[in-house]
Amino acid sequence: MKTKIKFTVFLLGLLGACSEDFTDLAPISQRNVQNFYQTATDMEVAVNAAYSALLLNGTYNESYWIMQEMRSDNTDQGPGTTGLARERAVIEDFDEISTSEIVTNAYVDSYLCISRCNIVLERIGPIEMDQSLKDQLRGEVLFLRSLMYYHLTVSFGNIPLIITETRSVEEGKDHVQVSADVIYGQIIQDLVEAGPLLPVSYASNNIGKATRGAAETLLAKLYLTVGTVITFFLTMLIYGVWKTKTTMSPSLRSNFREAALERATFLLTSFHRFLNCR
Amino acid sequence: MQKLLRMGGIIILLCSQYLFSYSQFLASSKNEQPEIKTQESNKTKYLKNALLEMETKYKVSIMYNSELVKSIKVPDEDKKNASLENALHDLLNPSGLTFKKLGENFYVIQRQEDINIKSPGKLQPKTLFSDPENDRQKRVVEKLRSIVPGNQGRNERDAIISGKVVDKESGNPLPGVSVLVKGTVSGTITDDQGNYKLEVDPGTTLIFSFIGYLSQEVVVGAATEINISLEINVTALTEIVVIGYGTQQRRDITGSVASVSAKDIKDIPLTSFENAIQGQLAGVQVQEPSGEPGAGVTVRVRGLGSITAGNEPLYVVDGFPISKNVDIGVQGDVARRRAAFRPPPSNPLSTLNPNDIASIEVLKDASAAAIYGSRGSNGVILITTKRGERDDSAPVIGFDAFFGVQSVANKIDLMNAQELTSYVLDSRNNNYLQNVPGADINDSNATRNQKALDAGLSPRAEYRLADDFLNADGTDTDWQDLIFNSASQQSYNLSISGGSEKIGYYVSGGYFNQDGIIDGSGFERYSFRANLEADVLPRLKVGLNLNPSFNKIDRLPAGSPYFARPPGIVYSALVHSPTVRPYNADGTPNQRDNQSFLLTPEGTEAGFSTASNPLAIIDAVQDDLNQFRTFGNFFAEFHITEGLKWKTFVGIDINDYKRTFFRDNTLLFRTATTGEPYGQSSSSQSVNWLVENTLSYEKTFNGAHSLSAVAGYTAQKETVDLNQILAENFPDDLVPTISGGQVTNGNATKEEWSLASFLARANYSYKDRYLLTATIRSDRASRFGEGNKTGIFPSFSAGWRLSEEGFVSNIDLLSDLKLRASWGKTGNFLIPNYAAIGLLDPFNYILGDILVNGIAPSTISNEDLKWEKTDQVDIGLEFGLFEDRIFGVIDWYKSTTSDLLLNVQVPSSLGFTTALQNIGEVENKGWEISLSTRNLVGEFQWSTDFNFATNDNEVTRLGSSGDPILSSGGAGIRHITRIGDPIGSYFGYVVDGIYQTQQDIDNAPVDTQAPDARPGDFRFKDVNGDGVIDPDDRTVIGNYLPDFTWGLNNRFSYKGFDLTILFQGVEGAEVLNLTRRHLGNGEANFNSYAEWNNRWISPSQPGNGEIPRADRQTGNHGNNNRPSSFQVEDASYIRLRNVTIGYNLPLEMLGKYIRSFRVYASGTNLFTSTDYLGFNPEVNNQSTFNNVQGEDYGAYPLSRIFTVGVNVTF
Repeated sequence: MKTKIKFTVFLLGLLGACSEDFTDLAPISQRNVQNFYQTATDMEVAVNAAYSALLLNGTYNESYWIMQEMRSDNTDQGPGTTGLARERAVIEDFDEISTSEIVTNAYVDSYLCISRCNIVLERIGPIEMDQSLKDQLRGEVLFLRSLMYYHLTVSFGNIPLIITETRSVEEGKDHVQVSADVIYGQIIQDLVEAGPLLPVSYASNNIGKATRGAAETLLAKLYLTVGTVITFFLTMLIYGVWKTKTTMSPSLRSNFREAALERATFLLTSFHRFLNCR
Repeated sequence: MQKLLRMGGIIILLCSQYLFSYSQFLASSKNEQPEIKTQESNKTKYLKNALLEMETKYKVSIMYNSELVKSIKVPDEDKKNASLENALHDLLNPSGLTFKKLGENFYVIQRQEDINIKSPGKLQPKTLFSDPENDRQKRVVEKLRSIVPGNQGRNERDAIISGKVVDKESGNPLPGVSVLVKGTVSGTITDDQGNYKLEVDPGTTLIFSFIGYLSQEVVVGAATEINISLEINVTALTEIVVIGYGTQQRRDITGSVASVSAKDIKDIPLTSFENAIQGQLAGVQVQEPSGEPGAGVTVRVRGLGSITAGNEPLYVVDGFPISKNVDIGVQGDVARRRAAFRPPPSNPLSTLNPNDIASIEVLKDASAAAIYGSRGSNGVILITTKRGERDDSAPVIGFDAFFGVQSVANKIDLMNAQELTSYVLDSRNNNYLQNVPGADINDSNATRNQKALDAGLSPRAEYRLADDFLNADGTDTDWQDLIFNSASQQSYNLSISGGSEKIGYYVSGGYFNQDGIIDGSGFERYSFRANLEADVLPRLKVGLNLNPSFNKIDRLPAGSPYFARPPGIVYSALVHSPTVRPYNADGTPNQRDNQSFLLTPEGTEAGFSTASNPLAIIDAVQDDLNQFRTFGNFFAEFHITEGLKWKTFVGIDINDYKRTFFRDNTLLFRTATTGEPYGQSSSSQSVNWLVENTLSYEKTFNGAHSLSAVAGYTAQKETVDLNQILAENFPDDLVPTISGGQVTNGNATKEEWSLASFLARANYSYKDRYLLTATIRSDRASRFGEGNKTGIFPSFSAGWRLSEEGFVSNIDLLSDLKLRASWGKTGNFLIPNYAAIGLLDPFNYILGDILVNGIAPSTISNEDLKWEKTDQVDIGLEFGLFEDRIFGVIDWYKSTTSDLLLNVQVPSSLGFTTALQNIGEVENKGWEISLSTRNLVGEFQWSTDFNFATNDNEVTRLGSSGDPILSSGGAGIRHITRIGDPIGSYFGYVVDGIYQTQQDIDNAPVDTQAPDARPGDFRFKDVNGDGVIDPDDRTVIGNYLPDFTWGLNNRFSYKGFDLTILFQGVEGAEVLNLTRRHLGNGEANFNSYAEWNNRWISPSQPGNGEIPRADRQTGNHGNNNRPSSFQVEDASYIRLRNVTIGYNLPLEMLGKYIRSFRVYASGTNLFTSTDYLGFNPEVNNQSTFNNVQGEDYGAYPLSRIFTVGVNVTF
């Protein structure tokens, strides 16, 4: 019996707290959402990833030119009508089918870029870093997000407006379509904010990033797209009175006079340039 | 009882500190040893020793099967004055054993339940029936008495017959075998050398019978010497079955467990362990999707339970659980090749030498598999390797060798040059006539161009005819003959096993070499094994298994499409035009001299596609995969007290892969004019360790209640490291490693997973009649979300042995009857290691002409991610008829997998398109029938094993909205997983005949996908009946899962000859034959299936009614080539899988050093009857992806193998 008691004691000796750590394993070769987005460098790299979405099939690599440029008289599919050629031809003829991967990709990849922009906008605030760099990065992603929303709205009309970081897929339930005007309002607000944050030009190692010119040009393009808003801004110019509940931020509203004047000038210049091009 | 409770408490508390605890265990046991010895050695001893003492004391011989008394301990007390028989009874009764007096001073030990053996009449033992309760035994006695009219022996003897009885397998003499004259009770038994002597009349029949062996009847003829070799009765209910963390007798099992033992497979040459169970077990489907040497074999137990997670069962090799799912990248997949075009991975378990296997058990139902908890839902396959017999006999040396010749099992029926010419002309003319006004079939190429221009159309290449078909030079190449050769395979295996009372050993070394039927492919295995077991102390048993092995696998890009990179050899050969010569004049593969196939006589393009020369691919690609895998495990088992054992098990599995890939400059990709060399070097290491502490208890109370229980704690962890370096721009082919080019890319990855579990199981039986089993396992795994890391998997099962009940045991023909039912929950954890955590991946960008880092999320966090859970109900009936001559098992099961892991589509406005979530449900249900019959016994023996299984797979719930999941395989979206249909069903249009006249077309619903259909084009079905044929008419058009599978194995033996014939079949499966996109597309831009000779030509020549017209631009006309039921083919088959004929040389020829010598000849894949057009109806290009299974996009065909071999034991 003594042995048995000893043995029981021995078995008890084998016991110990079942370490929870044993099954808490974090990824080793991949960064994860929890340990990234901490430093200025992280944010710069995150912004680069937003730019890289411009290379996707759904954006500038394929869908944007097929869905927009090719429908103009500038580009043509040619005679081939089998396989991929057939998919393009139906879009060119404004006869696209709902299952077209080209159309789906445009939607998916544009929102992919938007989500990468939202992460930066939401996480850059508390990070201690050079303020001018922080402003510039904010300006860049505001521009990129506007660029994506511009293409989305032009192509699809009413779409969901997402301006916060996706934390869980459950949020998808709340994504509802809003009218295109709301999107345009957001784009204008963002671009108006982005313009002054962006430099006029970059040093050689950053060539390719969004400049102030890019933001202003896109804004101009947007005004051209939405005539009613142009009228609205011209009206504002003339009367100098802000009379409507807009989606603009309060800070912007206080400075609206200068802003509106500046943009209107830019708009007119762009409009001239546009007319000359034709 | 108090003790039990205490142990229970301990079990629950068992926990971590593995290595520490292990070393502590060793230290402690060492320290305590002397004490145990002094206290306990007076109390118990091994039964074997006790019997030896009795033999000396009473001067008698006591015979027993060493397996029977193994590890049984008895109280060590000397009953000085007891009679021998009383002493024996006291000694044996507690262990469920009894004895039989076979002669003066001659006793044999046997199980109490096994004593229904016909006993020699003259030696009527009074102790034969020790348990008067047992109705069945009483009945046998009465039956015996009724047969035998009296106890009088014969007075006149005409002949004296003598001989020796041996065990058929080992050749060892069998003492105590009863030799009985049929119809009488007179006879004798064999002595301790297996010899007997008997006086009988000629013409009488002798019955040789022995416990656990099949009886044999022999008619006495002229010979006075009759030597008999008895065969072990495998269907015996006492067969020991491994069930995971323990063993059980077959008759006590209440779950659904199928098994194959070494005996069943030893006669057949095996290249992998999966071959051993192929076609042998109901509900276990073993498929060979590729014939490439060393290629992965897929095993599916009771259908498919998962869509996204793995479907391979869990493999447990000598107690060590491992997954056969190949982690992505460990085998160094060729980076340039699309995942969809990757040949099946090499079998990671091909390092196991099938010769070392003692048994394979498959835990099919949840009750049996629940002890493996979160890894049990795909079934569990337990592999047990051989052990040395601890019986003090001489070591057994076994030598097995075979040599075989392989050739391609079948060739595909393709067009020859003349048939292709007619087809090409037809397709061009039809296109030209339809598109160009005023076209004439006899127009020259120049006229065709002109007429097209005149009509304002482009002069298309698709109207023109190539030189090869206008001016044939008589070339008619059979490309299949060129790439398929006959190839050899050979295997040598040497094993030595044996042992003494305290130690047992089995060591072996094996070499296997298989060349592929395509040059440059092959598989070599060097495997070694040492299994040791020793009773180092009276209460401590330790054991060691060590199995290092090395595989050298020559891979080839054989099973990829012709347009993959590197291109697939088989598919390139199939599409290649027979009008192209294979070699240049200098003997090199012809890669450029196919221009007359591609160009018109005038030198303009002729609108053909071409593939690389398959012979050039064989020459240009070097792809070597080396695998070094070592399994090692150690255990220590300590007998704490009677029936209570502690076991510590520590194991490690180290699996290294090294791959070197080089594609040289010589290969021209299709029409390319220069090579595109690149190289790759990859290596990986997986280290998987396991620590287990289990406590097991076994006890029989009052002779009626028996309880066995096991409980324990286990922890397992795997770390995978892999790296890969890529190089390009090799200036020449002198250096086939990455050093020869410029390194362009590389990566290194490391991943881990871990699993910590508690497990417990209790088996209870009452009088062997009522059996109960309960199991529980709780698993905590690193792979799951924060809040859901732990899963609990219980199961219950019950069995009722009706044959022990009076009302059944009176039925004469029934020898055994058991009804069992089970319910259990199991899980599936085969998901990516970090699926619950939002991962970031590089998405780099270029700024200022410099590549800059970009990092963004690739997956979204899901903290709720958990196991897939499978609930399974199983009801089974096991029966034995006519003294177990017929033994059958019938099972019905239904399993529901819920919380299915799905890459659910989420609103893409989230920035993600899919997220891994637990939504969805799949149901599998079916019947399984296994029958083993011994049709003829005696000198000529014939036994049959038959198995049959149905499976019905249905998705019952999907996502939150129930939307179907469309999946892209090798060629766009062609698969659908939707509610009401099996996983990964084929998706497309339904062909509804062929338009014979314009009238037909006008009357049919408008086909929006056929811009300009003509007679001879397919009529597609308006599935939804909306009057239009459009993408909404795509529907489910078949699936890869069979309705039922079956196997039929017949074994015959006569004297020294044995013959095995295994048939196997699958019914109701379909294959998505993507090769029809090129070999059967009507466009005639490649070579084609010969069935297109029966195409539609005109209403008066409608062909076979299944093949549409030839049309080079069908995409602009009838669009016949769209994804449709035309590409889905019936893949049911009946296969003569193996025929083996062997001969055991007579013992007298062998001399005294050789125990047995068998020679055999065998044929594998001899014959397959199927309607499937391709090579192999089991083809499955992407066998690792459940939702795109069943595609044929060019696969390595199976071989037919003729083998000769020897099995020798010394």
